[in-house]
Amino acid sequence: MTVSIANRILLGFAVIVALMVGLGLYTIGQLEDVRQTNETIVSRDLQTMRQIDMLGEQQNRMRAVREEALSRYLLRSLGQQQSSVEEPVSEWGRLAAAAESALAQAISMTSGYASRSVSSERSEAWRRTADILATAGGELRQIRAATERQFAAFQNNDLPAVLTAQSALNTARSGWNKALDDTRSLLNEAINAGQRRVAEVYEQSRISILLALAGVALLSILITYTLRSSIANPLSAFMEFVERVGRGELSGQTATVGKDEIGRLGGTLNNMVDGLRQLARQSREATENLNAAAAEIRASTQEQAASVEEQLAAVQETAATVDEITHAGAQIGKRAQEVIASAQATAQTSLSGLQAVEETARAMDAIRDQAETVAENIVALSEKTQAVGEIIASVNDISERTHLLALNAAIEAAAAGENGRSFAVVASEMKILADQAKDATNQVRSILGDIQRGINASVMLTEEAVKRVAAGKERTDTTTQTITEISSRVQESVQTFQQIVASTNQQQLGIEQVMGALQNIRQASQQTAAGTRQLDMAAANLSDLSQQLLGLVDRYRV
Amino acid sequence: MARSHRRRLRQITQTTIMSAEERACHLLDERTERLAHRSGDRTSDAAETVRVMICGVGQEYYGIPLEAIAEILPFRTPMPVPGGPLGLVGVLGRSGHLVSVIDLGMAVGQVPSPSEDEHVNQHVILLRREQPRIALRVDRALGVEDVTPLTAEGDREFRSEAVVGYAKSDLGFADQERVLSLLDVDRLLLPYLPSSSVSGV
Repeated sequence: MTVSIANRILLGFAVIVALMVGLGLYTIGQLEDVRQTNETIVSRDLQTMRQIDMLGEQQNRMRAVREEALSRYLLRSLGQQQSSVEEPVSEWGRLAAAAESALAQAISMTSGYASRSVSSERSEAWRRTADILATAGGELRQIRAATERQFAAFQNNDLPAVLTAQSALNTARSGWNKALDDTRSLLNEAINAGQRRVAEVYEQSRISILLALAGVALLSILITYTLRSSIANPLSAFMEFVERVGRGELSGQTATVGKDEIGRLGGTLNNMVDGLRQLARQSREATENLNAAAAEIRASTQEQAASVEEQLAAVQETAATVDEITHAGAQIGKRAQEVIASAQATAQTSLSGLQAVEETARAMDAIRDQAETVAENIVALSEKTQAVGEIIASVNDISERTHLLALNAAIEAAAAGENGRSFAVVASEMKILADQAKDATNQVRSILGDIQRGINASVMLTEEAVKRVAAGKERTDTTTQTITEISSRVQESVQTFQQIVASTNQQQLGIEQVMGALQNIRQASQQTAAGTRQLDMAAANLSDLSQQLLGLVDRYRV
Repeated sequence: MARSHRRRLRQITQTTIMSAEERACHLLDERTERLAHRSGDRTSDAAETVRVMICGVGQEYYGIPLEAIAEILPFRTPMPVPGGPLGLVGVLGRSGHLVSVIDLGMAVGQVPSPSEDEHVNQHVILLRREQPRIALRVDRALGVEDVTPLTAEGDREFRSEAVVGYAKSDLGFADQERVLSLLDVDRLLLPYLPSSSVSGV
């Protein structure tokens, strides 16, 4: 059963208030009881006392009326007085009736009180009072009877009877008074009993009120404790949870949820822890990124510092280089002047070279003519060699024919038998000669072939020489053009170098400006180096901070 | 450079001129020596020698008896004869007679060499016989020589029926000796002649 805390507190207070109200009502009831008891007792006592007093007074009036009647009788009997006796007698009768009724009323009242008494003691007192009143009634009746007898004596003028009646009356009246005194003493007892009863009732009420007060207080304490525990226990759990969250343990069990405020608080705490967890995660990621970025920044600042120092060194080198350039420019100017002088000398030299080349071209032409003549001679030799070859062919033919002739002659010599024997010898010699001639012609033919090949090679070489001479001529022409171009270029170069000298002078001025600019750059680089060092320190601080932040973030265990 | 060439050229011409004279002297000396050497050989073994005409066909050399030869002619391209036997090259006209030309290499069963030069220096050996007149075509008729047969006739089988023996010859352009096959002309011509005229006259 889930009751909200407000309702719980409200319920507790309502219960306590109800208890208080009940206690008050009870107290009021007790007070009323006491008051009622007191009032009953007091009213009864007072009424009874008044009744008794009234009875006594009626008795006194009856006695007074009777004594008047007696006195009137006595006076009348003496004859001094003419007043009637009957008037007080009738009055007495009326009074006696009233007294009797009053007495009866008192008896009934006391007996009623006895039946409805608040305590047995008082009931006893009331009952005794009623008894005494009944006794007093008897006395009253005796008094009435005696009085009536006295009155009858009056009527009869019987004086002794009157006197006896008077004495009877006196005894009756003393009994009556005694009864009344008893009644009064009893009444006093009853009053005392009533007061005791009142005190008793009051004491009971006080004790009961005290007990009720103690019960209410106990109940209130119980309710308050229950209320407190019903609020404080979940709150202590939440306190522990929140302390855990405070220590950074974002993982672990979540808070209990419910429909009441505590439960809603638990849900809200869970949401908060979820948010914190996401926040911690994001912040961890962000911190790691920050750490990496800080490291990168530091690395880049260090690189920048290194590059700035390199830049500074480079600027100083550049300054040195520019200084050298200045010197070199001055030397360029000097050398350019020298080059101009040497170029003019070169132009003159190229003119003499041009003349030499023209002479070379003429020599080449002569060589070509001679080579052509050589080629013609070789061709003539080749033709003669061909004629020799034809001659050798005819010699070969002749030797072949001689061979056949020798063979046939040998055959004929053999056919001629012994007669042809010497002829056979001649034939054999002829054949040998023919064979030797053939061998010689073969050798000559092979030698001629060699000669022919050599001639062909010579012709080709000569033609090659002629071609080369022609190529040399062309190259000589080209050389002529080249030398001409060279001299013109040299002239151009002279002009160019003069321009170079002028440009170098301008360059010197520009280099002086560059030197000034380099000074500025060096100062700026030094400032940049200082700034980079500060930046490096800042990056280092940033890196330390991000490390600390990482440590802080690591407190959160997600 | 040019001068040195010129001097060398002059030396060459002088040596060639001198060598021509020397060569003539040399030839004469050689011939004299050979003639003197020949006379001694001939007298030693004249009884067993055969005088043959040595002719070369392809790589082989043959000896034909000099008695069977009438004349040696330079080769002329014969008129081809259709339907003739293997080896018959054709016919020639010779002083009013038809001469059948037979290739000697084919006749002895020699495989014809593919590198047969054009018949520039080939010779035709006209046989000494009538009816029919027959000539043998050879690559070259080398010369006449007296040779001694190396084996007895008829005891052994030879490469062809026409070959009747072998002999050594020292004739040749090189100094080494050659073995030549001695031919019997009648046996050689046997496949080409009609059977009635085997008489051989």
